[in-house]
Amino acid sequence: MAATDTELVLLACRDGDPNAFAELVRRYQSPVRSFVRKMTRGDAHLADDIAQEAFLLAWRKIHTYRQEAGFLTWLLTIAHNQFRSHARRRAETCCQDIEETARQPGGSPATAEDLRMDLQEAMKHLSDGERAAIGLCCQQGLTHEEAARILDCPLGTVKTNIMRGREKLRRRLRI
Amino acid sequence: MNDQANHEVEPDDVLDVLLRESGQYIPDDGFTVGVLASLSRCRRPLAHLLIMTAAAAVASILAIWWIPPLAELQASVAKGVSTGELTYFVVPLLVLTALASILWAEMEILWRETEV
Repeated sequence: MAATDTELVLLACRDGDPNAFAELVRRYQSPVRSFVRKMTRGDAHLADDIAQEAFLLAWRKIHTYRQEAGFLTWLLTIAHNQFRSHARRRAETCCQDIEETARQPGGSPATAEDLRMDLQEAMKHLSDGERAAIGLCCQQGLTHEEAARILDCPLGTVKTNIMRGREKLRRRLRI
Repeated sequence: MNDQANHEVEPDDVLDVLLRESGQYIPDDGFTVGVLASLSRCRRPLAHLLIMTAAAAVASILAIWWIPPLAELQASVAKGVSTGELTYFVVPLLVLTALASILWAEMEILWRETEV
């Protein structure tokens, strides 16, 4: 039977077992990388660098993990902080809204396939807060409370960002 | 999924489906191996913490030993103010800079070690 997260964390923390930590990385690399990709507006290379830094920091700080939240929530918190540090280093403001540009008029109603292709582009036009909240709740399936914990912001902000982000996406995708 | 791709669906459903699908699994493709390779390069947090703390402690002791008495510094500043001679400010400024640097380094160590 596969070891639980708690057992793996214990092994990694108490014994410094890199194999236990490797299993945790294998388990959670996809949601962490996926979330960071959203935050970097689809820059997969940069996202993987940030995700790797997040996992390395998680390894160094694994003794500070308290099981109040799930391991993925804890990892995503670190990943989000790493992204923010990176954004600060690049002198980007975290909650900056990108000016919405008008969509080309006159297009025919989109099919789901077209929409899927446009979604990635549309996500780039959300603010970081909106993208993060939508990425965590609508894409990763986390609860609003978990997202608020990860993003270190009030629950109401998460809800507002999701509502606003979804509205922007609908407008851009014309659905 | 292909059926969905070829059909228009209700607006709310479309957005939900699109968002869920865009959060699909990302294959590992060597990511875990890369993390593990980096682990072996950075697996010295305790040694790093000890060295940095010891260095900061030594710097603090040396600074305290080296710093002229406070009264002397105050007299120097007072003289500088009364005579307008900038050279009287050099030593107090150096002391202030050294203390601020040590304090900053110590804060940085603490912050790095507690950062998550």
